[in-house]
Amino acid sequence: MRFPGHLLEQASSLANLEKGRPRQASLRRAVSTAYYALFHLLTTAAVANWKTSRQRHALARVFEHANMHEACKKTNDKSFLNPNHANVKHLKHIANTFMQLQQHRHTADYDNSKRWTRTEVLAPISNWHKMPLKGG
Amino acid sequence: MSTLPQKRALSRYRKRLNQRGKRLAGDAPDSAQIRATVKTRDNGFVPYIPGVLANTVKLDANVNRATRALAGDVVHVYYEIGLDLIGNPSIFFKVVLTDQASRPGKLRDVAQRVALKLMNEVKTDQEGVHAYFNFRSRSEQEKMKDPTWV
Repeated sequence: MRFPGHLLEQASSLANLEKGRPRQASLRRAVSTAYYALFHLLTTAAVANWKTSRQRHALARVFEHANMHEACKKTNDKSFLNPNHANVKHLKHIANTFMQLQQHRHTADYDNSKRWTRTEVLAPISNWHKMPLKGG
Repeated sequence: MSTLPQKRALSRYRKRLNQRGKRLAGDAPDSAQIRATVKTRDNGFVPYIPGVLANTVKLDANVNRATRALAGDVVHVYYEIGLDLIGNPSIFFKVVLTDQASRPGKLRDVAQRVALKLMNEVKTDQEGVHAYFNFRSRSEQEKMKDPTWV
């Protein structure tokens, strides 16, 4: 899982690239990179136990952004029966962070009217930077 | 066969007559006459607005209550209602934090606490509405003078 970790490091570096006033390009790329870090982490984790190892990368390509968003929304809204509270909290935190980052990424990549600040970018990045990802 | 709007129109007509204490009499228009006068509309797409977003007075009060409770870290909370990139009804919070609360060492904890408080007060999860958050520091907001955050 080194690639997602490196992407996340890159996102943090981009957000802090300029010492003074950050460039919008740096901030927007930071948001986008942070989202893809989480996206690749989740898809890689999902196919990690696929028996035929050479098929794993191809299988990871099957995941679609919109479907993952819907799955995260269902997870976030779901009431679990007899839950292990720590695991449920952990799962919902990942689902919510994914949705937040995906929405931010969409804005960062396509909405030129939006002006980003460093705090706006660092808040979602820091949110998943310390996420206790099992097996990560 | 009557269409749904026609059946509804007939039902409304009968209800009005009953309310006035009248019985359906021979001079009442029959369903064929009503069908001829009812104009159908295209209601194929009717947007659904969750109650929590439609009641803006209550929504304002809930957001203000959360903001007061978070006064140590939060300067102001703006919000917008809209659809997210998938098309789900959502609320987009724009939170101005104090400069102290925006420091890198505190930002993660503050952001999580603020998000949780706002979601609990507005009851977004119970209403099936997703909440999205953007955080800025007070000094950033003052420099930006961003009209979309006012």
